[in-house]
Amino acid sequence: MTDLVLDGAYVLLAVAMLMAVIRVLRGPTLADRILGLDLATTLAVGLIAIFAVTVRQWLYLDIAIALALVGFVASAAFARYLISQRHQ
Amino acid sequence: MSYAADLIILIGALFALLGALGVLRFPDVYTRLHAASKAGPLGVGLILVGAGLHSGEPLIVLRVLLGLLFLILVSPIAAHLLARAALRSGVPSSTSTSINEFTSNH
Amino acid sequence: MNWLRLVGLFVRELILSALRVAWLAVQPRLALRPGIIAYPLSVTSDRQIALLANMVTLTPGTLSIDVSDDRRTLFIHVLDLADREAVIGQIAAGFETQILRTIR
Repeated sequence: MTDLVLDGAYVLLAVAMLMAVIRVLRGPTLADRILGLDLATTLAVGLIAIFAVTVRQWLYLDIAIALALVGFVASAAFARYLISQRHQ
Repeated sequence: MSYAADLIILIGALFALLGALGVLRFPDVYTRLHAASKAGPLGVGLILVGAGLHSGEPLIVLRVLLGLLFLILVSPIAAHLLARAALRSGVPSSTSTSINEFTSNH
Repeated sequence: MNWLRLVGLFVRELILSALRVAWLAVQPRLALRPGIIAYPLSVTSDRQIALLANMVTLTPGTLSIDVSDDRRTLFIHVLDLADREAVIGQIAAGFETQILRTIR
């Protein structure tokens, strides 16, 4: 049962990841690409969490949480960059 | 217990997918931020909790709950930062935006 | 006690807003009427404004964007803006009242 659910979740997240990547590629503005990258990072957190269950190594959950922390800092930094860009 | 965890993971993955669908389909940055800042993080947070429940260890469950809390508290902040940056750097909203009281105030 | 009620409101709104966005995303034809409105703030301190702005983002279909320099106005992006006054009234009666009760 669990294996089936995990496979399903992998597929759903992979499709979601594909959508995020399409948004990054298409843009059209820099803000859209940042938003796409932010979503991709969040989805990666989910993928790592499912992977932790697959291999039953719970340390991966800590890695997933750490990635979530880093992802937020990255988005905040990108947002600041976007604002500073206007003044050039 | 394990069934509940499976269900939580599945619901989370569905939320994440629908959030991504919104990011792909919505017309402009601001509407896309709605999708990216709500459905996405909540879905991934649920996956995290479901995965933690599978471990059956209280300490790990506590940690993933804190992870969920962090994700849902911080995603609106990231969305707000990005929306503000987009607005100030002059990213236009979609043509169907009927009212814009920001530009009329500046 | 007021804190607990604030947290409850927060969680409920988060789930509702995620459902709402998910529902909008699967519509075959997108029926969005996005708009940016100016919300007159009655909370005054930085902490209150930050909390309100964060909660507005979690409310279904609203996303706080910016605060005016004089801190009297919060600019909010609304996903599907049918009735401007209704949106403002809802935030004022819900989150803002609860925040005023909880933090000073």
